[in-house]
Amino acid sequence: MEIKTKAFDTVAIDPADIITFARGLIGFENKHKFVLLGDPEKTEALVWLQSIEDQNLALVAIQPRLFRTDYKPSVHLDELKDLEVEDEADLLVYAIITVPSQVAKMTANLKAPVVINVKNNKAKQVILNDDRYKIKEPVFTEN
Amino acid sequence: MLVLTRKKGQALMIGDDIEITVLETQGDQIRIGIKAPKDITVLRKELYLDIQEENRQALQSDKSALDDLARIFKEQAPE
Repeated sequence: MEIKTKAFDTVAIDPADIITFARGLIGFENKHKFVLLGDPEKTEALVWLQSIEDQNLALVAIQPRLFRTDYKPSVHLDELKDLEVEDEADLLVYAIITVPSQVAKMTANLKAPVVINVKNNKAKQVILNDDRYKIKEPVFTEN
Repeated sequence: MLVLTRKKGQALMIGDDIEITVLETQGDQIRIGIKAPKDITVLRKELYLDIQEENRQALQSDKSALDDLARIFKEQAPE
C-alpha cells in the first residue's frame, strides 16, 4: 500500500510493517497506526515514526543506546501488557527527538521511550518513573 | 467531576482494584497513597502534560536541521 509521509512524500509500505499503538502516542491518542521509515542513504541511526492516518504526524526517533550506552529503562512487564511480550529480547526501544534549528541542541525524550514488540508490531509510549532520565536529554554532550 | 470529602486515613475505591488513601495533610499539601495494578500507570499530571508538550515540540522539529543531523550521524558511523 502507499501512504503519504511528511519526509518522503508518497512511500510504498508493506502492511505487515504497520506498528499499532493501542493507546496512541501521548498527546495524539487517536492515532494508532504508524510505520518506521528510515533513509539509509543518509543515516540508519534515525528513523521516522510516521502515522499512516495523518501525513503530518511524524516524529523522528533514535535508538537511545547510540548516545547513552548505559540506557536501561526499567519497565514493569505488566505495564507492557498491551504488547503481549513473550521475550524481552523482542523489544525495540526508541526515544523521540526534538530538533531545534541548532542541531547541537537536539534532545531526546528518554523519560517516555517508545517500546515496540517486533514480534507482533504492537507498541506503546511508556512513561518511566525514573529520575535518571529526562524529557529533554541532550544528545550531544558539550565538549 | 465527582467531588467527595475524605478525612485523613480514609480511602476511595475506583473500580475493584484501585484504592486511593489520604495519608496526611499539612497546610495545602496532601499525601496520597495509591494501590493499583501494575499495568495502571500512575504519575503526576504535570509529567504527563510535559510529555504531551514534548511530543508536540518534536513534531515541529526543524526539517533542515534534521538533514544536518543525518549528515552528522553518517559521518560518525563506523565504516
